[in-house]
Amino acid sequence: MSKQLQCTALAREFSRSWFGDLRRRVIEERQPYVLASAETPHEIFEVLGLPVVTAEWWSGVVSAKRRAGAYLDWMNAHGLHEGLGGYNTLGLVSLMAPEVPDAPWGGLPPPALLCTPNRSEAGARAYAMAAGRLNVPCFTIDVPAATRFYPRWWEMARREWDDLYERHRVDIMLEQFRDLIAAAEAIAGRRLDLDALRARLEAVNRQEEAFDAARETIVEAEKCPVSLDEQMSNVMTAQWHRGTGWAVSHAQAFRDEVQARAAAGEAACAGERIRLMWVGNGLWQNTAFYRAFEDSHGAVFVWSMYLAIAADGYIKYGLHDPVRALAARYLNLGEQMHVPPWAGEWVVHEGLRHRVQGAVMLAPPASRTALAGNRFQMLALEKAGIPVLEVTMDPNDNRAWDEARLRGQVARFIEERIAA
Amino acid sequence: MPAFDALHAAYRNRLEPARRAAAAGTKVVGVIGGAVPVELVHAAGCFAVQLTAEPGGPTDRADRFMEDLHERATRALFDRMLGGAFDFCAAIVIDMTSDANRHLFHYAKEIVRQGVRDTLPPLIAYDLMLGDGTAIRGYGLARTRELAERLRLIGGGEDIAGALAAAQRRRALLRRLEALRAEGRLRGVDALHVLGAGRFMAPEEFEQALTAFLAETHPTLTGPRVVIVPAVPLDHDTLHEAIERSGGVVVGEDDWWGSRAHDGDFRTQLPPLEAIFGAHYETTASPRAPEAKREAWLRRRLEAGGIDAAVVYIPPSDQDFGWSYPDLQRLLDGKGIPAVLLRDDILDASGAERIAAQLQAFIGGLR
Repeated sequence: MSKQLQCTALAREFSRSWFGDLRRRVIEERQPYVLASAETPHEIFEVLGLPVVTAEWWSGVVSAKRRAGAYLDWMNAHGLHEGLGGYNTLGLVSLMAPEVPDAPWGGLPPPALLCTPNRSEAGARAYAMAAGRLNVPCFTIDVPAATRFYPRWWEMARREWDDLYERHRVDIMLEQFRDLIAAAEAIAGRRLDLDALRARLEAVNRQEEAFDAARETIVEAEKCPVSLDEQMSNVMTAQWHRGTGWAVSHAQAFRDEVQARAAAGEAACAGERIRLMWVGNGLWQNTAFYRAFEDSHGAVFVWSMYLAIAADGYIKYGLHDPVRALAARYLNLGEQMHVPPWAGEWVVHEGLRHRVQGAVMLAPPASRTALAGNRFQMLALEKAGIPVLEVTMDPNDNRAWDEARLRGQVARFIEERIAA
Repeated sequence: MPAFDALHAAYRNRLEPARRAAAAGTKVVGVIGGAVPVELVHAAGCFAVQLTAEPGGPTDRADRFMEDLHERATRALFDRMLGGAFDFCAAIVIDMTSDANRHLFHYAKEIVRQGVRDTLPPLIAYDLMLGDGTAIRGYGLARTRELAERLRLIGGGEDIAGALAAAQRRRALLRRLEALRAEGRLRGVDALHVLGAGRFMAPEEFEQALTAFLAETHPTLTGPRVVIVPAVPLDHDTLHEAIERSGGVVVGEDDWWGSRAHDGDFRTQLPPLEAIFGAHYETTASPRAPEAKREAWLRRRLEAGGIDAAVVYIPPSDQDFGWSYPDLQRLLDGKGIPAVLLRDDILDASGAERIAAQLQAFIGGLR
């Protein structure tokens, strides 16, 4: 197994110390912060001086600390049935359940504002419940439905986004973002500086360009220079703070390390014989799993949506109206990773150029939103000659984690459908 | 009851009136969801028909493409679409007011793109968003104008004022129907058939049959008066049957197939298209609506009185409504309304058995 990247340890340390600092500012200095879904314009809040905690990131922290089960038990004891536990909502539940012991890193303090897109009924209801319980305002962004679909959306997403996402849809998102800005300004006690927002989005573009370059290196390298768990932790730590000086530098350092390793012929697994892709949400409760088949099968996970969507979903050129560019970013970001017709074509494109020989696809049992589109993606991948294994598993719930079963499934898949 | 027979027949044989209309040369527009302004379909001179799954119907064709975590009704509807059941429609309008419909639209588009089916009727997304504020309202009005124009191109007509006047007459009749229910003078199953029939019949035939039905004598029924709060719209009468077999009388249901089908008034001082849009925007029963809009009907119905109990139906497939259950329970407790929570699938034989036993105990206890 290869030596860990230097930036991986830095990312872990950054998350922890950033969160400690946030707690201190919120609890001791009574500064307001925003708890927001991943698919909301964090940059607006941060330019206004309002720190943002991403609800999905916090869900991931809870899962990584193997505390998800305790919160899911709390839900069931409080009238919320078993089918409701989901990656997007665990962070909210942890806020509503301060009595659950051993919250990671001391737990989330109460936010000043919740913010979510109305992308799924479950998410909207969960945020409404949390807002009511915490007596905190919740800003919900109605996401208009796509009515027209272009092939190869990723080729248009950076510059032709007004056309790709349909002008009338961008317009209505923009109107809502203006209302959101007003709400955030009231909390921050200051006006949004549009030049500062534009500069922030330019920095985001630089960050995602660095991730794009890292992805190209992985595509071109004979053997994958960086393991998937390191890709995910480095990318997502920077993404949750995207456009900050730290995040841009970190993305560039990640790119440089990946490129240096590729140039030196270093690989995540020297014995790489098989390349795999992971389709769906990350296994945040056990990212080490992605390396479980390197020694035994020479099988290396080289791709997940996280690095790829950073490059294909976030970069937006044409920032004369930075709020409009942000509005376009959030119209279909979620669907592009999961739902037809966006996702199937994209994963095939990514899988082929990453030279993967198989795909392992997550089917989370308690999240229709995350599962929707799996069948079409599977059909598209198989048609392109990439065999697929679908594994049913909750990526968060440590109570249901069955490592032996999962390892057995993936090992059989490699042996019977790829190596054979 | 000949009037009821006609309504009942339309509820049972849902596509028959539309097929007859198509055979006679009328353009038929299928609608999916409860928020499509069918008044605009009528205004265009087309026949509007709600497209539904066969309750508990097969999903074999759909299962190849649609994951089994989707509601069974969505999968069964997609299955019928794949099988060509709706090919006689000149177009299909899908409202985007639920996750289920959004998925259905994407999936239907994809099967055409993939060449699985190349003969689906044109799909039209009606993107009504239900959030508050003038921008969202303006967005919905613009989409409604677009829909009216697309329908005009299909049917050739544009008598929006005439369609609005007819819709007003139907709403007035349906409010009389709801008043009869509130007095406990209609079985819930029968009321559901009458309400549902309006989604499948020609509007003038429905108006005539409904007028005749309301003119009949409807004696007061005995039994606890029950309101159903379902997690999914009930496009079938199975739960109503089970409740009424246990001795209850269903006097309302919090979904767009039932009591909320014709909630609210058209504001006739507005231009006709705006009046039609406004009624749908303000009162559509949608899971994507803001909480206050979602809960408005139930709160109003409980305030009006005459409810002895509530049946909350959350089938095992639910992944969203359950988030609202603790607050719903609190609301019912606060009003002193006894409630039972059903977590089995009424369309599954063993689930139906367990539900029957639960209802016997609950409604028996009320009596």
